[in-house]
Amino acid sequence: MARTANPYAAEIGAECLKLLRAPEFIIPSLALPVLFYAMFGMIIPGSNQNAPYLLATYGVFTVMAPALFGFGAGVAQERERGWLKLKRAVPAPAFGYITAKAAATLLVAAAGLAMVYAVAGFLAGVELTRTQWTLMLGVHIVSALPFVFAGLTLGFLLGANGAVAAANLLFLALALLGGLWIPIVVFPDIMQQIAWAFPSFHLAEVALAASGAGGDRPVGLHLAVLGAMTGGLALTATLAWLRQR
Amino acid sequence: MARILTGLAVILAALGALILALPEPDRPSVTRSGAGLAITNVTVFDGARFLDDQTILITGGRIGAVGPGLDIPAGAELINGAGLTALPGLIDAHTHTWGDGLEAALRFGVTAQLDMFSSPMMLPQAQRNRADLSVHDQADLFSSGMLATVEGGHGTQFGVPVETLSGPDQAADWVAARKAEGSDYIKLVYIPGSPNLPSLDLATATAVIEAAHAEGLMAVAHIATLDAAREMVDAGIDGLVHIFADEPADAAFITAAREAEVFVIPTLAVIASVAATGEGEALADDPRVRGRLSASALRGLEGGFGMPPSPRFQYPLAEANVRALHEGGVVILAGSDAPNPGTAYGASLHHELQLLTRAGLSPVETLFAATAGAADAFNLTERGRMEPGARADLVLIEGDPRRDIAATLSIAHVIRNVLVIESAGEGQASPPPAGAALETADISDFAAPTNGYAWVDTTDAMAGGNSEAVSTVTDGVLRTEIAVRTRFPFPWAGPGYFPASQAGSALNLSDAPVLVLRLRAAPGTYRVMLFNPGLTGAPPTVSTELDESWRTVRLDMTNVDGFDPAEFAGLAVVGGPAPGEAWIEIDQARFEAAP
Repeated sequence: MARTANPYAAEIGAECLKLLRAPEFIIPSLALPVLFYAMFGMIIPGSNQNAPYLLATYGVFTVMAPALFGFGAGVAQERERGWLKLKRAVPAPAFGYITAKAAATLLVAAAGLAMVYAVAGFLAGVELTRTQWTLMLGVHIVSALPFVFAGLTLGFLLGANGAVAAANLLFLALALLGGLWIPIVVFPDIMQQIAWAFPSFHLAEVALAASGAGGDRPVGLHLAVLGAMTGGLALTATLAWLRQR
Repeated sequence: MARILTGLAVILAALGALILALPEPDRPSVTRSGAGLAITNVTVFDGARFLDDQTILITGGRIGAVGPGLDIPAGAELINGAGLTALPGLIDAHTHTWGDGLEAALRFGVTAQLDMFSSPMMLPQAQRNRADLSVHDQADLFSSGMLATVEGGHGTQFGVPVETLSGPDQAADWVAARKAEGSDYIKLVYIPGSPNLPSLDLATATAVIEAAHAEGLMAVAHIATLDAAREMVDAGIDGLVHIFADEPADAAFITAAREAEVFVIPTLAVIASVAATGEGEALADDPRVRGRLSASALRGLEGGFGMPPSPRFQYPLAEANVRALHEGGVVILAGSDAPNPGTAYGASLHHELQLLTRAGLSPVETLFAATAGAADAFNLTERGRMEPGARADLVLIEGDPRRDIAATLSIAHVIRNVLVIESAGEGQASPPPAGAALETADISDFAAPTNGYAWVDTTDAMAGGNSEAVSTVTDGVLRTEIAVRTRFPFPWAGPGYFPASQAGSALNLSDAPVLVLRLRAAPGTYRVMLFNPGLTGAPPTVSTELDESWRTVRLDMTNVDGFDPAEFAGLAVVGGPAPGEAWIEIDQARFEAAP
């Protein structure tokens, strides 16, 4: 057990250390969602009525940044620098690299979520039952998955510069068109239909349902679409990985 | 590996601790019915009559038995009902659901609301909640969902999506769509001859009624005049959701309504507000009301429509018509039309009970109107009566409403699906947060922001209207050309002083609550509208006559009903609601301390 686990542990440790040594990545990833949430959920007059609703959508937004950028841009850079080639020559499990990245992403996501939840609960006056808080946190953490695969695909397919640009574009599209920043219901009908194409929208709807938000949501359908999208993205990521090898 | 596991455990523990620390909604004191709940020595209104010295046994979310001296099961929770009167949970037969309306209503003992138009998106959740005996924190909702109206007609101005009708041939599909969405009944708007709104024509309204009946749904109508009411009764309507206040009801109409078994939900509370009788404010001063209202609900109750007197809304006629219909044998139900200006969820139903009593209903008849009467008219099973098998939705009040109907506001306990919500220290009204301190009292710089606020043009376009306002600043004078048009029923256009950015906050004008304006305008009536944050209805408004000579207008905002100067969020000087073109020039504007 220890023999096979150790390389994973070492990779995860190293990845976390890298995070701490490169605060220029971790700080914006943590600060942006909480600042946006505070602004749209609290500071704008009248917005505190939206604080519970926006918590569900900004939670998805919070895990999106580390997943997309950590994987997309990060992997592309390391690949370009030849780090992945080197890794392949090292007698360590290939999957350790991905595992470590995933662990680091989840760590950043969890820290970001903790901050957003704290602002929501202690400053914006959001009150949910223990079950709702827990369920929503679960949904938010699992939300990282499709974005991780999307980021990986970008990282394997594009160069460092291209991956950063593509990740940014995808990030904005997922956030805005998926209704993470502004409630989807205020969008025109056509935009609400377009939102169905984005996993961020479905994740936000599931998180809203978990938080007990008003309105009727076909949660089963959203989960099914998410399952299909995540599976598709996982497949794409695998193909992209195989291609770059 | 061990280090990783430790790290993981630490992270999980931290998240767990956060989840445990995050706030939960306040849990009212709970009496869960293991062995049930017993209310002893209580006066019961069972929906039709009063019975003294009764015991009510509640188990499994329902009323088990009502009678004198019943055996109390061992282990049951007890409420000593001496001096209390138990009413079935109240039913407000005319509301529009928005925000925290269902929660707010429950604090006043309203356990079911009959919504007369709101977004159909709420219907599936409402149906699930109705079937769920564990819902404790809000009233049940029955709803018409969308309403039947024409393009630009009443109901289209609130930003809630409405599919409009343009002819009788669309009625069947329209009603079928409502039924599919989950509407409990069909509501239509029939206001022919309205001065500022188009209406369904009689043929289309009749087709909607017939289509509703064909689908097995009831149809109710919003009307404003005796003539419209008569036409709806003749067309087969099941109920009218307002009383008309333009003409006295005549014998022929009363007979026709009684014979057609049409019920009427007069909504005197909202007609009183339209007619600016000042009753909403008086109600808001009652500490039993005030203590249960949120800050924004309180402002709503103190607010008004800001409409000039209209021959279509003569309040004394409204009361006289209710009396005449009641005496003529027409079923009267209690509905508030909350949250319109001058009303509040829950509170205004109690107000309506007082007004119905004043109109000539006895206290028993009034309470019937708000309980069993509504349940019968709308076929609501398990509600409105204190009888075995009914929902355990009750309100316990102190005193005897037979002597004084206003006793219904002395709420001791609200019981909702066997959860007792203590009334003491209900204190929902948190003091509103005051705004930021005023930096510049002189706000005459029309070209640059002051206090984070700027002079801008404001029109009813934000509410779907088509009025226009265009401002220019010349030699320090703000001139605004305005064109008031009537697509929006309460149109406005003019200059306003509003937060310069979305993030702008309210101003605290407690120390400088007098608005001083030096201005002139094309001769006519103009209005100053004042805004607090979180406004839900029409803003508090003061009218003033202006002409082409410069004059200085002083407005002490502390005296404006429904407005709190400690949370100033904007002002506007506007033309309308009368349509036409005009101009306004403002030369000086400032806030001053009260004299």
